[in-house]
Amino acid sequence: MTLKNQFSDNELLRLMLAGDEDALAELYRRRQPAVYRFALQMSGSKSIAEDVTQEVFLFLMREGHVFDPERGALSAFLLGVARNYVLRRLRVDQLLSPLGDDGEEDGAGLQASIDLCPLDDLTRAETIETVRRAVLSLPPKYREVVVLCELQDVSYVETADILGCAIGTVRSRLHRARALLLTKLRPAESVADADSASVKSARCFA
Amino acid sequence: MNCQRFEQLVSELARGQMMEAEVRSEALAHSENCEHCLARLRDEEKLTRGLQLLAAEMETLEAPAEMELKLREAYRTRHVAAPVAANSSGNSARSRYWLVAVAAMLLVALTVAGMWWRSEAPQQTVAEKSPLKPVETPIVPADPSGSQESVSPTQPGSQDVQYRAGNEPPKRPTPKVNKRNSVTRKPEAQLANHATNEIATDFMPLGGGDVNAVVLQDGGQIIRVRLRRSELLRFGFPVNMERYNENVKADVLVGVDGLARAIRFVQ
Ligand SMILES: [Zn+2]
Repeated sequence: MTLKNQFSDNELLRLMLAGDEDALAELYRRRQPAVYRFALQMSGSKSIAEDVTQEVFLFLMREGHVFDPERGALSAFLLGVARNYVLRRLRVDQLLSPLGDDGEEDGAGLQASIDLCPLDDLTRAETIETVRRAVLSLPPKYREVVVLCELQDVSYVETADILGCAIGTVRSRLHRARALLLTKLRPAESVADADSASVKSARCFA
Repeated sequence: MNCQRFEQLVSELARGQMMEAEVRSEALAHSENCEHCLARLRDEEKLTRGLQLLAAEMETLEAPAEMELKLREAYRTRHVAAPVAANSSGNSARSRYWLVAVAAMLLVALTVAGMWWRSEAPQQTVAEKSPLKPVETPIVPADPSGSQESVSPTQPGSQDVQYRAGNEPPKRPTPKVNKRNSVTRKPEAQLANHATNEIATDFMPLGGGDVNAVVLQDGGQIIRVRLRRSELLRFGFPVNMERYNENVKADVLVGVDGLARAIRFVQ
């Protein structure tokens, strides 16, 4: 029996494209959690995350030969593909509100619904939920850098690779995204002067 | 170090990012003497902790186990049904050529049959006498996507070649309504597998484009959505102002490239 888990991503991809189903399975097990979480953190919807994950790996089966190892890691390539699917799906959902059949869908449409909080009093679970909602309410170009750099712990270099932009852009978007998050997590009374968000403190955030 | 410079560094400082030791200690020294910047740093640190909590909370999440089975099944189908498909752009071009050739032969045969029928059966109705024009239908690989909301095109059967009166002027999308279960369904209507008594309009292209071109690609999905009744106006449908804010159901046809290509309204 071949120990597929000792193979690199690139070797597994090559084997998969040559017809080795076990290579697909190993590659999937290794890389699907990051793809799924990325889609979930971007969309806030389990069903979108599942659809996107499936689409990403179907794409890999179909078009895996377009991956060029010279240009970056397969993990980054997969997140780049996932990003395209998520953004397209969000664009459709933005135009047309989802049917909302499972009651969990609160991703893209969650504009300004955050309960501006006395966060100091929040429990761990409440803090997580508040931060999750704040992240989801960010515009996609800021949300994606937060998801990648903060939640997925992807390096600036890889994030730049995934987003197809310069490292400096990643850095400045992340800075701006964090300022926006702090504004969103600020108590209602300080929202009035939110314009100076980036140089004022978010008193309530704990 | 001044407040402005500190502001540029504060996120990186709170995230524990690599930075020159000298710059870091200068920044920290500034925050010790500047109440405002210290508060900024504390808030950024709290934000970092909140994000770390969220990341930890989601760390173990992954796609449901059955997805691997679905993908394996799709993979097997792909490799059994089309073992040379992976490196065969030439093959797919060739198969497309054959499809076109078969469609052309069918067209000729049916035109001849139609002419013969017309001469033999003069009492046919006007619609049946018209020269017939085939409308191509999607030829797609079996799509494994089992998503609740997405409906994959199916392999065409014998009734998949559709006919339409050839002398009709091209029509703009009009509020024409099709019974979705009717015998002479449009190819796009065949994409849906909702075996219901729903009534749907024709698919209307979004952003200009040919709907048939979309379904002729490798696949595509239909996503069922709900949207404001007011959106109907954009497609030339009359809207009852009293129900302006209500929702209506619609199917969005998404191409293999993920772009929304067409929409139809469902009742
Ligand atoms: Zn200062």
